[in-house]
Amino acid sequence: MLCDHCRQRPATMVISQQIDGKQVKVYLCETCANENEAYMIQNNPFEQFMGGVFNQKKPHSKDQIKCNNCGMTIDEFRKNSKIGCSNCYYVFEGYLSPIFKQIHGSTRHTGKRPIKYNAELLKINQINNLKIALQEAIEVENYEQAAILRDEIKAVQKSERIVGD
Amino acid sequence: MKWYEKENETYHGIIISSRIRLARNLRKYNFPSKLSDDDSIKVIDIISDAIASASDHAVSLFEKIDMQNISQIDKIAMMERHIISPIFIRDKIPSALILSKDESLSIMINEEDHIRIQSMEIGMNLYTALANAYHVDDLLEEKLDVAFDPSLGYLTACPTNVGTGMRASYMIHLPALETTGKLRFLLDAIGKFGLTVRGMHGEGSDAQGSLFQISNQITLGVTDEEIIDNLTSVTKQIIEQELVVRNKLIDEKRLEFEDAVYRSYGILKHVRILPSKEAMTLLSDIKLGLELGIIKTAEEKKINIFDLMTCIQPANLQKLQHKELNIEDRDIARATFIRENLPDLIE
Repeated sequence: MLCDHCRQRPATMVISQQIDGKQVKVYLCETCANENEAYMIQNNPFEQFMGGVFNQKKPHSKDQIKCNNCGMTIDEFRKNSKIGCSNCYYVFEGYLSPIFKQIHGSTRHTGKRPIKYNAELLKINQINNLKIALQEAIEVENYEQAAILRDEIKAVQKSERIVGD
Repeated sequence: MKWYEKENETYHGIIISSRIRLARNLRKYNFPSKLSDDDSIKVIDIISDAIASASDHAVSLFEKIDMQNISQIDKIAMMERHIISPIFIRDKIPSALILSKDESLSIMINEEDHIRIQSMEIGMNLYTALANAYHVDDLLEEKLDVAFDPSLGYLTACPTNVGTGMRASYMIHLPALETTGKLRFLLDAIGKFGLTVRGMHGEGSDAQGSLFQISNQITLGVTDEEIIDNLTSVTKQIIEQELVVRNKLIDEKRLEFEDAVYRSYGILKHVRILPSKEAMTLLSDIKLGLELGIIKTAEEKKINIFDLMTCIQPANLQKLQHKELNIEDRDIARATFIRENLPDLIE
């Protein structure tokens, strides 16, 4: 297959995205993809499909949201497709979520986690288990055991938070 | 010994290498596109200190290279050897590279993300590459506050990397599929599996010498292992197709095929001026001829075509010659280098 742009060299990459529910594909040779930036900007399917998402929900310019940490705006993101900082992920959650869904078909991470987060998760599980045990102890009126469990829960809760602010 | 100098016997040499790239960022600093020069330097210091102070002896010995202190030719040579990405050459902000001795592990600091861990292995070895990348990743996570969200995963500068932040890729040599025009049909099918095929230096690079990189596009909602298994099974299918076409060439057009291999060998051994792209195509023919047993090296000498292909890239060639060369001089130097370094081949 020849490059959709130069129609001379063989296409070595295919960009395929859903735009307004339609599958759009552009076949390019690497030279065109790399050198002809104007072509990519005019015809960048990535931009088009993100534009599609934003056009549905584009805010009025006067209440244009800005990241309170790095100052990134939606317009800036639409222009260069780069996110400014980790805080942007929370500020622009409503805008980014459909984009993640379109790119990845998912909005939820299922892979590797930092070990610190596993420790945090363990802690939450531990507290939940202790709370269940506490409830059971209260139900059978074993108040001595309940007091021990309550202290244990407090101790785990107090232990230093490892992750986040 | 560098990773690419090791012997490669997986799948008839069709799979050249396996690569894992992990994208990570520090929570408290803006991502590189919004990072000031002062903060860029701080980010470099924080990450290189974490590596230097590692309890792991091998990792603590990694070399740190300040990208501002090395020449453009050195940078391009590193890109040609796949140590750094093409965009890391255009340094907009202070950036640094941390590199293992065998060049199989590298950490680019302040590329598109603060941290880009890259792990390379010869042949079909993505799980080894992943384990090595995880080793560095775990070490950094232990010491640094990495931008991670329990539901979105690793937060990256580009939305295409969010989640695992991992890109797995195989570099594959597909001369038979390319010359018979069958590759374009595969390109179509590959997209359906959330995979993409690019030239040998990744995004935006030219496919030379029938070398291609196949990698995952999806990073959210899948585990690294699922990505690798999907990529590996699709790649195996492609290899099967390449082998079918190769066997067909041998069965039906043996003489024409032998002629093409010897013609390429003749040119490589005798020309005085050799442009890069032509050299890559000719070496690709030799690689195929060797793998199909049409030719072999005299006295069973070892030959590593991929290493030769790397050495004749413009910047690496200039480094071997220890001087800057213009295009014409490079083409002459390339012809000389190949005449001297390509072993004699016999029937």
